[in-house]
Amino acid sequence: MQVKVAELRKLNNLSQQELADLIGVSRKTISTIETGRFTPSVVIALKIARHFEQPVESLFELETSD
Amino acid sequence: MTNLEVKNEEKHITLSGWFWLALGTVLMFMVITDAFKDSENQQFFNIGFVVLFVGIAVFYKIKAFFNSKKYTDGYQDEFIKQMNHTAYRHAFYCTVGVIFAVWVIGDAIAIPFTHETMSLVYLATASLSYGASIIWQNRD
Repeated sequence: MQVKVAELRKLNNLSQQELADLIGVSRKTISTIETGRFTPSVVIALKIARHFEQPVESLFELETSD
Repeated sequence: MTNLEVKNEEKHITLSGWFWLALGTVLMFMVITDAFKDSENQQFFNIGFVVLFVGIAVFYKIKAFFNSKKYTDGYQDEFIKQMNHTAYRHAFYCTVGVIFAVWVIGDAIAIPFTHETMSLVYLATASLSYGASIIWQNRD
């Protein structure tokens, strides 16, 4: 799965901690989502998407191997 | 869940990993010294390790619990909760693996350990694997 959370976060000049605080999760959650080590629940994915005002599909894209 | 609670959970799980790793190391040292029963210094070492463990426990209590709620209901943050569950699974597999290994090749090793010492081995394995797993998963 391709994760574009880091790109959007940097475009919005947010640190991992700031994004985590806005969404109500730990910084580690954001860090591991960005590196692809952790697949978030639908709730967290929707919260991130809502924060950036983007559809979820633009943040998380399935690859052919998925 | 407030941001302060999330940060406390993050701090708590990190300290928890180091605490269980330290406890496992202390227990493993106690097992190693027990292997040299003839040593005059065994009692000295054992008392030293108990003092070391009490020191670690006091440090952990001060650092992890004074500013945080009790975690009897488990962690709330999604990743931290998963990290904790994965660490429990690793600890379970490691302990079962060691028990199985002792059952299979115990006679071949033939170290005259008592049942008390073997129970320390299992406790040390569980503590070490839980702590190491938390620290490994907690990396950036």
